[in-house]
Amino acid sequence: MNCEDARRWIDEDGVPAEVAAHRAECPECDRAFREAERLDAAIRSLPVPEPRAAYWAGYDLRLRARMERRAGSSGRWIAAAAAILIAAGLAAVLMPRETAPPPPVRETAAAGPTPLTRFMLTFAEYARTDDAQARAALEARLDPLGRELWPHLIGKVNSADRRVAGSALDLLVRLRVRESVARLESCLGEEAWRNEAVLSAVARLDLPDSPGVLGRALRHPERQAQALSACSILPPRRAVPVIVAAYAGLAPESRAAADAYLHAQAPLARRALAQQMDAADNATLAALAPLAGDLRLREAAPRLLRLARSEEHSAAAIDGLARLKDPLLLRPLLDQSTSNALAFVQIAGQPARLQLRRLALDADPRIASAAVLMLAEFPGSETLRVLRASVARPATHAVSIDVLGRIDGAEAARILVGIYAASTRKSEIVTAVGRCGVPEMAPWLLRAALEPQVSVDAAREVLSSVPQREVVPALIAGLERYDRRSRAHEILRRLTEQNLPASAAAWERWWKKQG
Amino acid sequence: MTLEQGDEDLVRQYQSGNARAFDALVERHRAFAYRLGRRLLGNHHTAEDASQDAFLRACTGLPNFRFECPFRVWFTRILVNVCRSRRRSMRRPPEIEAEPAADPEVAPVEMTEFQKRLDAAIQRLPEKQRLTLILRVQENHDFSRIAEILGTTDDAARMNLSLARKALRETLGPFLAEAMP
Repeated sequence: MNCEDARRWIDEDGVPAEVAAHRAECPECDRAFREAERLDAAIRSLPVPEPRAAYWAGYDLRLRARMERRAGSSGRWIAAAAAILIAAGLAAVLMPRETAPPPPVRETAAAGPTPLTRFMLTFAEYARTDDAQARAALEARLDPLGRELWPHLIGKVNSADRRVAGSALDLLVRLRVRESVARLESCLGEEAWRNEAVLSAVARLDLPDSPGVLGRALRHPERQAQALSACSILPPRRAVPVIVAAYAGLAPESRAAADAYLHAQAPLARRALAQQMDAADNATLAALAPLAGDLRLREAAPRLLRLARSEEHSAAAIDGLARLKDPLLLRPLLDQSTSNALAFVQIAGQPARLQLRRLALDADPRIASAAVLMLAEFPGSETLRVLRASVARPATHAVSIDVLGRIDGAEAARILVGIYAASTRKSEIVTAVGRCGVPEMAPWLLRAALEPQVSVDAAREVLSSVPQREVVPALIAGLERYDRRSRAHEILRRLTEQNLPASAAAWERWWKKQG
Repeated sequence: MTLEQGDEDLVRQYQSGNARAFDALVERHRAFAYRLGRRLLGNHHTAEDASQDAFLRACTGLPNFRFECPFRVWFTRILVNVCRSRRRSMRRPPEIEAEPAADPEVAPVEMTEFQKRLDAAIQRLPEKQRLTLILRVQENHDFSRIAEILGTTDDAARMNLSLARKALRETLGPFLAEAMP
């Protein structure tokens, strides 16, 4: 289980054992869970004033009175209110603030109010009433007029009164006029509440233009959250392509919310993402790479591998490839660049490390050498086991010696000492053993440094890492052996920078003076 | 007998002509209706009005209630819609009543500075996020029930909760870390 999968459970009741196990191992996820729990606890602890017991008696009386008033006057007040409005000449006040010229209104021959006046008066009642039955009755009166007069509702959507704006949107959704979607887009502005209501209505309408309007809102930094929320109202097959198309331009917080939605619609999201990536430039591809990885979009791998060659976008490409959780991708990456392959293994974790160890013994010498070289970054008993095998193979012998020398520890040094006798690369082995930094190897290094097959430079380098109190006496003793005298003398001169003759007595005198 | 079964019995009795069954439903759910109204609208008098409007609508609709969902869910949906309408009629988010003790029938509560900020931040959330957060965190509804109440989908409810939490973290920022170390 990865962090992404685990965090999807943050909002759920109870978590499975594997999520709990992941949380116990991953401090980041544990922190995310704890943050959410603490925020929830704070929200739950918000006090709500509780009415005293006596309050409820009064509450029941007031409710009873309202029920009786309503039973007595049902139906009468609506007509009365309309009559008063007409009498007061308020119809003009109720006219909408128009954002485009409304269609012409046919005047009736009768002296009564015009259809537009009737429509707007009825709408005013509609916007004021909460009663479901009354609203239904008003809707029945508004519907036939609304087919023609709906543009006047657009002005009401722009009303500062949220109730009026909301009612206009409810009515527009009910009327389902195709052209209204484009007109609603013109109502989007600075106010978040209006944008949310308008975009929600656009989604509820679910007409051919709806995805386009939502897509443009998703590209607007101030409207992304509302647009995402509205998209979730659309049927997923229509919402997913819109979100995927805008994904690269989403702000990080909106991207997290989009991720949650797209993961819930994974099959649709994969299809939309594949199409989007086919036509994407490198910058867009880089933005989509992590999503492609998380959705396990395997067909994205070739494009991401190509993207990994680009210096600017290689990090995003590697991130996406690693999230695909396919260790077999390591081979083409090794073929491409060791640094990319290394980043891949570091992100992809255990399965990729296992694959790396397999590739260290690959038949292709280039791949095997590159893999062995990378093993230095992942020391451990398994790596040493592989290096023991790779150092015995001609194609990876030299690079394995180098890598073993970069791994601290007695086991690496012992492997090197074990192959010393049979290897022609004695200088490299001596250097590598010296770099292993194992004090117990000092006597072996002293012996090996005096052998003629080991270069003087290599011998000097490794002996410089051994304490002089051990090295100098051993080299002075070497001056007394015929086969090692000249080697011991040369190393002594270079190490101590003293120009004494190849005489053990002369060097012993000097050494005693040094204390 | 569970609470929901009890509600259904009362609804059936009301549908059979027993008007007192509705009084029992009111008595059973009025505290919940007031509390949720208060949380959604932030004001004592508006909360009472909204909860009573919801009961009035429920009374009208009960003869047609078809038991397709628990009464409590159906009633919550009505209440939420009433509260939404009332909020729309307000020009800006309601002020939180710090001292509702002006009404002697309501016991006063004291809020810490952080709780006042948190409450105000919740009231300023976009409508769907606020409703989802309140229904999920404060009223403990699961996502499918929230979707049913708000007329949306489970995924949309999840997304709205995620956005609400993010917005609260951003708004409260350092206060959050201080208040919840």
